[in-house]
Amino acid sequence: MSLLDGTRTSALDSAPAPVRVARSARGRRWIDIRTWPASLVIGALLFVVVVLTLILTPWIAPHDPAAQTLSARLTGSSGTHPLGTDQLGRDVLSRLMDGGRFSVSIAALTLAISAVVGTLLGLVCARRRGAFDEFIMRLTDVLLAFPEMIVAMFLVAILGASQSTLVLALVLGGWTPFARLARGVAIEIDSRDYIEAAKSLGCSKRFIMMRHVLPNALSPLMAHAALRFGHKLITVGALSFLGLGVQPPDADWGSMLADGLPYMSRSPGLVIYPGLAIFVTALSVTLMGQGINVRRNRRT
Amino acid sequence: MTETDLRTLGGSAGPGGGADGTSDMVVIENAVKHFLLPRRAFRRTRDHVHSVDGVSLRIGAGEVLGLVGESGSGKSTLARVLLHLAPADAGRVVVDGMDVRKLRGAESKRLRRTAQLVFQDPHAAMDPRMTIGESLSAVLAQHRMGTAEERRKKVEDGLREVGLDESYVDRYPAECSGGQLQRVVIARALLLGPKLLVCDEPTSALDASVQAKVLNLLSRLRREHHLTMLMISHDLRVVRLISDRVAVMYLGQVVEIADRDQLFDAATHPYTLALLDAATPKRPGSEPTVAARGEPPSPIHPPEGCRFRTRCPLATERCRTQMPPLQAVAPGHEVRCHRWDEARAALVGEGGLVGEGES
Repeated sequence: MSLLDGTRTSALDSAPAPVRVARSARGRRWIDIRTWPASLVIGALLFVVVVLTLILTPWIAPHDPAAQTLSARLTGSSGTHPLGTDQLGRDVLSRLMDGGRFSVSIAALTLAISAVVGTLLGLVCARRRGAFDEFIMRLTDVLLAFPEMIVAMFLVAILGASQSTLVLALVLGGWTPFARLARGVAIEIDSRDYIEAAKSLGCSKRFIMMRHVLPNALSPLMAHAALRFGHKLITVGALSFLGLGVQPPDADWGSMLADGLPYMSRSPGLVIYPGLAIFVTALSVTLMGQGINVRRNRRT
Repeated sequence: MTETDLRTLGGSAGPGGGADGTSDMVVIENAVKHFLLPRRAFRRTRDHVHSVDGVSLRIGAGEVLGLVGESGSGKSTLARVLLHLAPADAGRVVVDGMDVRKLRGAESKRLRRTAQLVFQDPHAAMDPRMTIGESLSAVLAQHRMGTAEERRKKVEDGLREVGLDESYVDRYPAECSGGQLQRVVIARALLLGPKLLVCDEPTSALDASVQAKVLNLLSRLRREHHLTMLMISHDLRVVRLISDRVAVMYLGQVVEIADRDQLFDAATHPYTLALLDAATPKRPGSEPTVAARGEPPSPIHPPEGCRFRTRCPLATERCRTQMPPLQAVAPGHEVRCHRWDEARAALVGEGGLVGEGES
């Protein structure tokens, strides 16, 4: 019984266990960029550049995005038109900047609404279970059965093309994956010991949901949101491509892609630049999402 | 002496123990906890897991009761029943005068302040996204105790008491070792000033070198705070070190309960004897003196009669048909076995078991 012998001699053990020099956790909060993973730094940097450009467009755009110069159609890049002009002689760079405001804001808005609504519904499902849970989950089944594009086209056909229709259509299909993910993660977290500890310590249900379940569910949800952002951006583009989004003469990246398609052989930039814009923006958010995940998981 | 007399001496008599009853911190009478299994196709009835099946126990104020048994014997479920985390299906559970099964609202907060739980795996018992300080002061905030400043002070005092300095306040659980974190869990359990501490295998997840320290900490805290404790463990050494009395559980039932020394020196239930024998160091290759054959049966369909009979070397026809009652065999010593009077002689030779006479 070596265990017992050992304890008898060590008597009362009240001395602190050896501690490595404790760096205060406060010194390692989010503010400190040096602790960010590379993907987060690159993603955030790209994203800030894109967003700043889009915000400042009315002041920094070289031309009026709708101004046509029919004598200078489909030109390559030049001093006055860095990315050339389109089939109506409009400045491609200015149209990209202006169109991005629409694409990115719609994608961000629908994503934010979907994520908040879906997460809250998912958490409530996980907590309540029973009939309510069953109803919401079957509803997601039904919604998932319809492709997002079909739902959107259907709604646009009924309500007419407008920004609010577009947002509504995208949110309708967009909240379901968040609800399912949040529910699954919350049920898993509910079985952890620290939830039982919180219950035995007399913490309220609300406290357990908001301070334990939600923060621990946030990491997979944020990673999912980041992935969905690129997807949303492409969907918005695709709807505009089909003429269901923004209406001419306004532009967005999807409609620019569509408009440029017939002229692709003469002026490939008309397709490449909007595509590149979607790609870079989606990439920046995906990188950020990945970086946030890495950063959060380091602590656990 | 009649059996009734012995029962009274045993201290586990029925309700209404008068003056004796008031000094009990915990009274459990015929507690039952079944878990329903998911519905199966083409079956009309649903199966139950008989986790706790008619357990009666008392723990006196300031006493430490050890609870041993294999995994699946219902030890942890009994702890959850006691703390109303897994409410009992039937029976009476009283903690410090409160009938746990009837508590509502503000009363249940009182139970939370009276009885606390220490977990097996400290890393699982702490929220990984909260610093230790946040975790601990949130508990005080939930009970509306003190200002933010006072709470921080109280958390630091609590940590100091378990041998951790205030640098731990700003740490995340991942930055602590198992032993350090188990101290944090103990400090958290003591924050609300409980009278009863239920320890569910508090050392099983820790390194051997740390186990002893945590046990010493617990016995020091027990003295200083006059705690009543339920010490659940499958490790007989742990139970022997810290308990006043020991109960042995098998498939949801208490099969033997006695004062610590009585249990370790004069156990009479074949299952207890097998446990003690298994814990005795042996020469390699030698056969166990007392063997419990095979695996424990499923708690979904426990055996008829005596539950241990399928593994018991002494089982007879009577054991198969009739469940033995928990009967007093000496003052404070109760056994659930038909053949308790011959079991010890039949199973243990002259050599004795687990370091007998050593303590």
